[in-house]
Amino acid sequence: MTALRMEFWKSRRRGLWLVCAALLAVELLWIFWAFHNPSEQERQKGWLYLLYNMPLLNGILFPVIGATLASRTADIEHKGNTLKLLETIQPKAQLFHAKLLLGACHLLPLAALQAAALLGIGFYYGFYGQPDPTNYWQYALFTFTACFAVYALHLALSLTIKNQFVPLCIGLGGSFIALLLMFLPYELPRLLCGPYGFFGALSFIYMSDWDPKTRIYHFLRIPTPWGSFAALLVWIAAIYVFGRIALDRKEL
Amino acid sequence: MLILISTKDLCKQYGSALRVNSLDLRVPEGAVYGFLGPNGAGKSTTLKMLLGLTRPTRGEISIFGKPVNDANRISLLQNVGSLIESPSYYGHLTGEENLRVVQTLRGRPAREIAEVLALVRLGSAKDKKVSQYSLGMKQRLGLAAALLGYPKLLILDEPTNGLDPAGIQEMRELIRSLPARYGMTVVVSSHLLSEIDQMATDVGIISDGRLVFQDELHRLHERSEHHIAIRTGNNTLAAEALRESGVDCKSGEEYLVLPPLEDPQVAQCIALLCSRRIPVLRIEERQKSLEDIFLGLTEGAVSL
Repeated sequence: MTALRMEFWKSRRRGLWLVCAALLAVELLWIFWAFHNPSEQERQKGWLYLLYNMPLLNGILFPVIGATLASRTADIEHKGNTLKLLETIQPKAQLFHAKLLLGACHLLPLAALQAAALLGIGFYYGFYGQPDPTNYWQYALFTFTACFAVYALHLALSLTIKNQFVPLCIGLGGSFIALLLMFLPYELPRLLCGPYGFFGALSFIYMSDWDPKTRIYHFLRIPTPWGSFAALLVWIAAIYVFGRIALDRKEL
Repeated sequence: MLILISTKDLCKQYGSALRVNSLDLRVPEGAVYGFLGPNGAGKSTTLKMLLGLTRPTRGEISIFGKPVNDANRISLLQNVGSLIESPSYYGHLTGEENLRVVQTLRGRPAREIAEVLALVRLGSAKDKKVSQYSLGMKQRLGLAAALLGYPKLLILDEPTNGLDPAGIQEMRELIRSLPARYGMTVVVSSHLLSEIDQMATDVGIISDGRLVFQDELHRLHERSEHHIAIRTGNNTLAAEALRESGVDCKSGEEYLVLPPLEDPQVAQCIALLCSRRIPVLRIEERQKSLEDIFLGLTEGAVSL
């Protein structure tokens, strides 16, 4: 707990909350722009429409946001050569754990706020029907876990690689991978391309019967993809092991 | 005498280059141990290995009489303060906020922050962001962080880097006073012989990764060779005369070099030369300087 408290202390004036808030702000802007004058069809399908689109936005935006968040967390140690000091007063593993928890403490409210914002927007526009609470806690859980996996990967990279441009570029690549994978009809690549594909893989809303002529579409609530969630947990474990080994081998 | 740091056959290899070669360090308790060597000799690498920041390729390290390993490293280092190469700091935090990190992680009382800030004379700048500090102030902050907890052992790598002459003097005096004031043992590295000469009680000289000298500083001074140099109007005749009288002398460029002689023997030599009508122009007592000894030990690869 002391180590986590110190991570919060060190992240003062680093604007980590702002980075998360920026993501939420962009996503809300996009939704308000898309729904500025909702049609009857949009009001009918609004709840599921939002749950379908938010993972898509997260997939595009979060790899860069996650890389930025991790970079801002790790870069303070590189800039001031503080790893040389910290590694004489706390175990490397403790430092890594504290930074992971610091990220989790930012991402958990972000995911919860996203879910709450989706509900708020639905009520604001008066979408028809009642939202299913299960959809929202599952959305928050999956969003948090996918975001945390991306953050953990980038934290390991940012702590290991001094030049923060490299992990940021990887994050940018991750955005393209996430977007591309969402348009693939196959599930397997989403599970194999690192944590980036899971924004799509964990989406439980499926668009069906899209008719380009009439522009009519339907959304289906498919069974919760617990299998994909389990695969993501395996990725997190692998990223954790990679991070620990990389940090352990790093010589100062 | 208790040995606080000892290494045995300590080696570090980077690729094919052996940066530290079979180092056997012995740092006695209560000493200011000057770790001296030219740039690139392996000083920082050695100090990093002592702190576990770099893994030795071979060899053993003991601190406080206990062999250092991954399991006990952090607990042993609880009593070690360090400042390696450049100072460690968070630029976006103030000086005091920086020290709060170390104080909390070390589990020390908060009052020590003010104490160490006063010790390094940084009290007036404690609320300033460290990114606005000068290099010298950052160096002082690094030293303050190392002093937090008043550790038994302090490892300082070139601590006077970036300080102005007054700051260097102040730092030297502070380091010199630490064993008596707080019972600390200090290992301080430098490539400047004069600096170590003014601070250290013990010295280890490293050159090209090898420890070429290790002992108390006065033992290094004892290596200074005294001799007498005489310049005469005719050095060739003077050398013959002195040799005839049993004084071993060597011919230098303009001087005759005589072994260390007592005053009466010097007087006899002068009398002898005068009796042979050889004019004595100059007599000097010469001593091999510490720099000469150092250069000899490090084979000239040094900046003084």
